[in-house]
Amino acid sequence: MTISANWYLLLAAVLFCFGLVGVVSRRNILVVFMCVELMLNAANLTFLTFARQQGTMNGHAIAFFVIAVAAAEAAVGLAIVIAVFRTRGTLWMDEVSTLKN
Amino acid sequence: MNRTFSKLALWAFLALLVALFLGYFITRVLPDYLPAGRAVPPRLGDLVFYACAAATVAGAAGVAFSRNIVWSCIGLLIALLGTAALYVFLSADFLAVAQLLVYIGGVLVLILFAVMLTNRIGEVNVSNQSLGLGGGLAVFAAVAPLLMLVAVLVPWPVRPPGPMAPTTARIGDEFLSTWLLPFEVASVVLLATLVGAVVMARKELKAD
Amino acid sequence: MPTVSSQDVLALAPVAILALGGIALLLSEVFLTSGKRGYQAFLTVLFAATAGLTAFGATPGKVFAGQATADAFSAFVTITVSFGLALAALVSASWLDARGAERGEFYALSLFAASGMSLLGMASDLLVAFVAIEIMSLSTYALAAWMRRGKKPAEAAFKYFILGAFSSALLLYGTSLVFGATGSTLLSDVARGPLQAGGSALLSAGLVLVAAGLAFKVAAVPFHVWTPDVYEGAPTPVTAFMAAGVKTAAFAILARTVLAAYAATGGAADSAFPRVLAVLALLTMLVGNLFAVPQRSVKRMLAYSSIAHAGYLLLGVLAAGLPAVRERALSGVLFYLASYTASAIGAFAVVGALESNGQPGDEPADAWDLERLAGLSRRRPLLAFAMTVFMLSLAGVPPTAGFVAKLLVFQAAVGAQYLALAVVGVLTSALGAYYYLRVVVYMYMRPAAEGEPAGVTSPVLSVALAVAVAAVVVLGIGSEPVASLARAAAAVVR
Repeated sequence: MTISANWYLLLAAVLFCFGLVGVVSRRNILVVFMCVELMLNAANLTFLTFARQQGTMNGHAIAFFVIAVAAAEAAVGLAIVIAVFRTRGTLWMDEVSTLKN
Repeated sequence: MNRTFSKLALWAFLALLVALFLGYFITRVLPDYLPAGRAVPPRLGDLVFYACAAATVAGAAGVAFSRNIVWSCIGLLIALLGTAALYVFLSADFLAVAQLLVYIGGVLVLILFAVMLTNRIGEVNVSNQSLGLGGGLAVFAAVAPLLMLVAVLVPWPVRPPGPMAPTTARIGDEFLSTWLLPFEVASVVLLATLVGAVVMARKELKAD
Repeated sequence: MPTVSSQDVLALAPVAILALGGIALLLSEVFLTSGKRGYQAFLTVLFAATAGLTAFGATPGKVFAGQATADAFSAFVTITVSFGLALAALVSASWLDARGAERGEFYALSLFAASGMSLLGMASDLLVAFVAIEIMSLSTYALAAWMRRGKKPAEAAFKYFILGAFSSALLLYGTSLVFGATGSTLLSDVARGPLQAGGSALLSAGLVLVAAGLAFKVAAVPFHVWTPDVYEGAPTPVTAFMAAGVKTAAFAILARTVLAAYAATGGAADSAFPRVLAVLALLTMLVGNLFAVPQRSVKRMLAYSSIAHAGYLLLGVLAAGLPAVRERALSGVLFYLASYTASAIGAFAVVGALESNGQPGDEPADAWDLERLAGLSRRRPLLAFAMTVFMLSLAGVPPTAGFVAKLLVFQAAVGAQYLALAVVGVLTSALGAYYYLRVVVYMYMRPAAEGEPAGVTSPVLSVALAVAVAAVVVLGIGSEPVASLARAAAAVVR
């Protein structure tokens, strides 16, 4: 294989930048969250690239922590989405009742 | 009709700008820094790498720029699949599988759930102060060249791929030796997540 | 292969006690039969006190192969965090009880958050710091959404979550670049500089991203946009805990990281890192104070004031880059954190005590504004006195803790030749005195409006306020014991 590590790092940087742009420019909160996941993926790709360069397993272990924490964040994120939706949902119900009157 | 067309034209123009920038940067600026003198014809593995990388970038662009949230989800799926494939190239087989199981099987499904549950939430602006497209492009123009340059400044030597040995056992060793502290503490993260998610998803508290 | 010694385990005792305390409070809800929850806050205080005491007992040294450090610095952070947790728990008890929302999970999440903060004080490895930050953040997201009457709390949690996740991603990508440049995530290895010849750009980019991620947590400008909304929307006792605890823990790891970054980039004067930090400190002091002035809501004003205080603290961290004044600057930062913990929690507690009771159907919290404080000195003289003490301390008026803290930090800044920044700090403090004293003027000089509620008080809240007032006054008049403790803590950090 002739692919140098720089290409992997470059790809990770592009992923990270796309995520960054998405976070600062998008208004939809779920899309923003997906962009954060992209950024975490970029970090993981970088960790694994350096792990191969250094020939150690450290990067692999770190990447696992990242995946675990990302999953935990997603769970909390969904819970918050539901919480917001509950309050919004009630609002929507109010709208419905005003319309009935 | 006219409005959609002008919107489309604007998007096409912006996409062209980004593509031109990336293309110029990768073909003109970066080769000065990349290790030179590779006149080897590309092998099959390299082509697969480029294909995966292109798919990942396309997916990421879809996440960040698509107007339709379902397309964003599909973009994320493609980007995650692409990175999982790249993990295999980096001889991280176990992580590739974990990426498939946890990210695509877990996180992405959660996000899809949230999308379907709250398909109106996108219209109701949940007060995320965004800088808008201009701000996004400004940030991109400021950060992307720096990070991409940093990625290629050190000419890392090309490593011959080692034998595809399973990494699972060695990762387990790492967890219980070098990374024992974060490994143990991660259990508190999961416990706090569990409690926090239940607390937030339940109904409003009333005096009992 | 490194082995785990008893010293490693003992050093983590405060973290473990806080986490186990959280589990105990979760279980307390399971075995609850009487429906009386008054003891839960006291249990929390007990665990906080135990953790604070055990922090003294650890043998100083690096543990877990250098990934964590148990020293006087981490002990000081743990004690400050435990003190904040105990105060916040007492304040929460009365606030939540009045709204029928007191549950064991609340205290459990607070204890988990505190265990993360305590670990953050010890962390000397970027990955450990990341995991500790996640413990702290995930718990506080849930605490911020504890009460969802009205739209604001849920949105506050949402905003806090998204920006918190974003800052974690910045931190992590930065860590990955640092890992590439130095081959390790240990701060001691980071301080040695890059491995390869061309790696210094990689390392600098990584460190800048790590610092940006941490700047989100300490609410430094321009990474502060979440702070006012989140502080306003969250339940008031949670805001108090977030303002004090998260700030303390985040500044602890920021100080350790910045010192490693200084060492890695070779000296303070000639690298770009201090300049970036100086700009951050300047912007944070200016924006925090300027935006606090027009706020009519006391809670929102306190949120902007917390940004301003982050600016003064950043000034201290910046000064710590110079080895000659490092000890003075760091001890100033630590003392500042302790004094801010007491003053801010006290101030938020008074605000919380005066909030409308939030009967189901009301929109609480956000209906608060400055006029409601008018005539408080006649309605509730003691509450007004306590609020006055906290306002004076936040403004930095002698003889309160805030004055000593500001003095220490500004002296260190002058010692490190950051004269202009110190002058800006003094001037913005004067501006700060205006909006803090405005609150005092409203309480003492304006007649009360008709039909203002007397507010909630309970014996627990009185105890908490008395302790906070005592802490602010004692730290102001007899600051020497705590200041010497802070100096000892600062001396061990390199």
